[in-house]
Amino acid sequence: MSSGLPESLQDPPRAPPVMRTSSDAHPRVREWQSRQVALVAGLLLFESLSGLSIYLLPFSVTNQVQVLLHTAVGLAFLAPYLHYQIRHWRLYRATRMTHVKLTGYFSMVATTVALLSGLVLSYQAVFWTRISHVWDGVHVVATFGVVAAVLPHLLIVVVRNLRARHLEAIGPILTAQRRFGTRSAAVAGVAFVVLGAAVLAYRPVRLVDRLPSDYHYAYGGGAPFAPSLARTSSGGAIDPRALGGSQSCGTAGCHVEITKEWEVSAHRYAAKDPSFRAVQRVMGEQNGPETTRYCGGCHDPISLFAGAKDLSQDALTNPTGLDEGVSCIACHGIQETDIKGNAAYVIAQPKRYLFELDADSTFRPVRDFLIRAYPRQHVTSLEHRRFKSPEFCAACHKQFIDKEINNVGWVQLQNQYDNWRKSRWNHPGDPRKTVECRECHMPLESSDDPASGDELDYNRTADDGKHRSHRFLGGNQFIPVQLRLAGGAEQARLTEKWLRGEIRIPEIEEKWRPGPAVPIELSAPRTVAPGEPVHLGVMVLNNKPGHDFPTGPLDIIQSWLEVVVTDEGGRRVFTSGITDARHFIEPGAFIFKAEPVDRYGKLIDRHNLWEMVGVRYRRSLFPGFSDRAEFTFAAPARSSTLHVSVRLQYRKFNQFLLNELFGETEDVTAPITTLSSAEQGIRVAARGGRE
Amino acid sequence: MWKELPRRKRQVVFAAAGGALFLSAVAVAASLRRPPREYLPGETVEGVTRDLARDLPPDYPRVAFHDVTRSAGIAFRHFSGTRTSQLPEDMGSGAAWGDYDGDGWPDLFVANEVGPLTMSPAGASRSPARCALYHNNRDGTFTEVALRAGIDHRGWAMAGAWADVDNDGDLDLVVTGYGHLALYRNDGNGTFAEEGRRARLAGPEGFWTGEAWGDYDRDGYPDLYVTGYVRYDTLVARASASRYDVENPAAINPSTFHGERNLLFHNDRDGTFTEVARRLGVTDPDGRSLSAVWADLDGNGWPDLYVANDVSDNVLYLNLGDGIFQDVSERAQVGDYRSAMGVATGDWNGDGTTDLFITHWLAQENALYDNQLAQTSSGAEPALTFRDEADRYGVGQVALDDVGWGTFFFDYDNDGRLDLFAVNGSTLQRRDAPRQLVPMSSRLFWNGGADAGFYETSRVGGAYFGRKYVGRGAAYADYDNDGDLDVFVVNNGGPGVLLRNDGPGRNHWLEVDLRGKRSNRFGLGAKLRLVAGGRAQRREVGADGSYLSQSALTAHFGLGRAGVIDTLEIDWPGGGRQRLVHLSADRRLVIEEEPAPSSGGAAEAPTSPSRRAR
Repeated sequence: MSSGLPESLQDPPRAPPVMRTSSDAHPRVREWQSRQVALVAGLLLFESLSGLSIYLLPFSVTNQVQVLLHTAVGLAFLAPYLHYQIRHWRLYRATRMTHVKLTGYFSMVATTVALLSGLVLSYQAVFWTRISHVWDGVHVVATFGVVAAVLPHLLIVVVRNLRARHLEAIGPILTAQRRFGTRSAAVAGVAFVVLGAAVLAYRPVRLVDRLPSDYHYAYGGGAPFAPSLARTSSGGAIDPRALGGSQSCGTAGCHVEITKEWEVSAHRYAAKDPSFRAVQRVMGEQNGPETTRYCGGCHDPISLFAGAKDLSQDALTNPTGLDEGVSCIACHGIQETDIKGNAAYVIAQPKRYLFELDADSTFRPVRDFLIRAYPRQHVTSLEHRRFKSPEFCAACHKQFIDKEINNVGWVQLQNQYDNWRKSRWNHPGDPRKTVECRECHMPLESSDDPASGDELDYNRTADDGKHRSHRFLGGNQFIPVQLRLAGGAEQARLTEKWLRGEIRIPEIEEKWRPGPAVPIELSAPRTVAPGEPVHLGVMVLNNKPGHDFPTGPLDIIQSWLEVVVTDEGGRRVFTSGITDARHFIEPGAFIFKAEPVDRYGKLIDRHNLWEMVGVRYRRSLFPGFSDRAEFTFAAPARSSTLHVSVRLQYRKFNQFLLNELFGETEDVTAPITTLSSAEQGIRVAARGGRE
Repeated sequence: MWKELPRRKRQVVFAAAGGALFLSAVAVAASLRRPPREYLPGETVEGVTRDLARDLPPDYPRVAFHDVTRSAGIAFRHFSGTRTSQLPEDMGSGAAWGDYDGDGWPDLFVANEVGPLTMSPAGASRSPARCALYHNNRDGTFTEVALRAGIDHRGWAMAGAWADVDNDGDLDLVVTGYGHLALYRNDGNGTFAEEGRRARLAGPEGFWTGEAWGDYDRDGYPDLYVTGYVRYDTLVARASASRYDVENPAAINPSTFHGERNLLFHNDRDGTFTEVARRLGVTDPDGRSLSAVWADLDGNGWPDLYVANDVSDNVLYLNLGDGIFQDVSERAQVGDYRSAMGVATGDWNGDGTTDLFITHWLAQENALYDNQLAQTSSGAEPALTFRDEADRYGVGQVALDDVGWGTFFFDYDNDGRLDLFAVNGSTLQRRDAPRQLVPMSSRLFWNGGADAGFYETSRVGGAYFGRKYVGRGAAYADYDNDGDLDVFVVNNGGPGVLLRNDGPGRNHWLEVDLRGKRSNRFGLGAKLRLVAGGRAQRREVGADGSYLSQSALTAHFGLGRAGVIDTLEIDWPGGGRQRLVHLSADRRLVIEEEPAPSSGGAAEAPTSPSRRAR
């Protein structure tokens, strides 16, 4: 020990020979002077700073490029770091334990864990559809560990050296130390320059959030989308590309199943539904194209916010809007809804990832990597607690028409939301008794989807391996087939099962009475005398629906009782509600529907709601309610037995409207689904002897 | 000991402690990380707004209604026994204020249902749940005198309504119900004789609900419109059993049954009536009618007829005079198809036209049909139309939770603007106790002006509004003659509730009773226009509406701070107009119709009792 330095500044007692041979300088000087050490330190500095920035700063282009660079630099860091670390450890392992040495060990552990977890995350982001939350947490903790360990490890030494600067022998060490500082800063600086260059080089898709220059502000500049109540967070237009592109959610193995479900759902074809288009066209012609914005808020939001529902647009739609209807973002981008319904929502464009809107770019995989490796923006902007609440669905599933449309004033139309809210299915605060919209219409499906699992629902967990179906099964078993959607026939088949109450939903099974959605019960006498009047009673019950049955546009939908009484020879003795060759229902049938009227008392029969002022006939069943139909006919004189068959029939479109929309010669008719049925035999026998 | 350690060791311990601290911090942070709060149905979710919700304004009236039923000596209980889930059991009943003994203090008739529909005639005749007649003791209390007065009405009574059918100066009573109508003729000395059959009112059996008196042909004798609800069939009740989860059986679903026609009884001026609904085209055969009101909605001097229908569209029959009625429901845009129960009329916004307020079933909001006649541009042929402004004026969305029944416009704080009362009570059976119906709380709305509309003041309107009942009928009167309006509410299967209006009483008021000579005796259909403090107000006698109920025939005006009435004009249904000027406030006037149409002069006869407000 003859260096003249205090003990704490002295060499390791048995410095490894490898170090001795590399230079004549003092071992500490050599360590500070090592390029490798400066490189490792510089890269570590960049990794730490970029890591903290990714974690702490908001989502931005810079942060996304940092994610990419952080990953790349992390990989490049691996080899030099390991080499350095082993050497450094061997150099100092034999020295006495000091606080410097201990923080050195801490640094080694933290850096190794950060490296390892970073590798795992990179692997998951490349080869899986989402990163693991646990590894993500480990990586973040390790990063803070690196900062918490390396800084004291270095600072103790640096400060100690600076304190000893009056000693002549420390001079070379201080010089080397300064050089280390400069070099490592330069390495980190180079990385940040690369970062800046990449940020500057990135050219995002330029969205045109502007209404056409000749757009007609029919209801004032402050309400460009009125008479729809739908608004954008900016108050202005939204480029269709920002709301469309739903297919891209199903690429790269991510939301494949969900996208497939959505593609045949009523949300998807809300705008391309030919009946909607026909009604909209007539409305535009009769009432002014601007008034069709009323429909757009829920049926065709992309076109509405693109300004396509305007005088200058004959089709009153935008190709993206037409094809995607209620697209993924059209729902998931909604920030606020009001309980008054009628499209009273506020939608915002989510901030996008690099290359997210640029489907053709060769850098497209970068988007996928970023969404998975850095999912915070994706999740926080597109997933929200409010999506569970029926109030969210109410934005479009509660409708009225107001004076801007009908020149008359407020007229209530379909309202599934308040129907449900006041029904037996709603028990605020008690999820075990309540059945909300999503629980029925979005049942759980087994899934590998990255969005599977949900710990907010009382009957689910974060890793239950299930997602909520985006088929939104409802009452339309016609349009998916009519539009020849891929998978449309399957959707129609499932919808029919749905309407009959045959779709099992295990997670809510204990909450409702199994069996038909809308059962019927027939009461008829067992025996009648010939010629005697026969009274049939049919009870119809709203068993499963969470809202009125039927619901929706009741001027279009029909559900009725078909009664056929045959004798032993199969001859029809009595009928009610059978359809004729032109697909019309026999007059006088017991039927659930509505007949709205205009101000002249004329029937609204083409869904021309803009002329509607009232309703002259309406029949539907509130949840848990029953209704009863009566039929009477005379028992035939010569029969011995009668067979009564009753069916509750349902179709989405009445024939008159279809003839209006598609022309009578096309012979387009909506399929009829039998929701439930009942049968009974009646013996016809003279009463004489027995009574 | 710590000081004795070498410096190096102390530093090592510090560093180790730092490492341990870091690890503990991580552990603590990890353990503090709670799983996100479980989603609960009905929770307040960020991003869900309620644009139409209204807070209580700072200048709301400090008026409260106090439940004084017991202290007033009223022990009315509706329905005896247990429901059997049949529609007629659930629909009643109502109440009618009328000063049958002419002492200037309003008395009260309350309709009742004896009990379950399965009750035997013998059981019914013994049922304690009979209709009640409460005689006003003029000291804030009442005495039940029905039997003594000759009214032993035990059945499924729905409504009662007072009118002087024979113009003999005292009020007679017609009671509707599931069964047939009854006419109790007042013999002038506090007793009544049932003369329904003799008067040819009692004929048709049916499910008769609301009734409205009005002199539609202005012949000086009141005529009666009676609403028929459904053609109820007890067979359905027996067939209602099901293996499925029927929460509300078909027998209490009005859609199950066909609508019953309505009746219009023309007063033949000889103590009998002739039913003319079919001849005049006002039967409304498809409507499941619950309430009707006579009011001159188009201002042509003839009382029009508005009918509120459950699960079928409402009807407006315009009275064109000469016994001609025209159904203008759609043209006037009031063919409201929601399930309507109660209807109220009044000029709530002071624009000189009569507006309609309609209470509905669950999830249907109320309707506030604003009469657009005043908005019709001059020159254009004025066509009667209405516009539903319930949401805009604060009485729509708030009622989504309600099944609404009895309702009326009344100025409960005497500020010169018509406020609103709406009684609620469900028709749904309780899930935990299907033999009972779900109770609800009623609502009070304060009129904050024609621009602002209504604010719900139930929260500060008295404890009654915090309690839940299966409410049905309701009617108002100033029973204690203190210048503010009190309310009686009938609850199905529950108590009747007398609500006394207790306000600071700073505002002035005027009450007017009319005595017709050429017109019908109590001035049904007479229109009063009062100007005070620069504000004009209108009333039409007997045109209040509600559900199965009738409010007092006294016209009540709140005057705000105006202590003097500038003018009071009366347009009698007989054709004459009387004009009174410079009247002092805070009293009750009885005004007799002048013998012949005149162009001026006042026949003013201030009568006692008239006291200042408390």
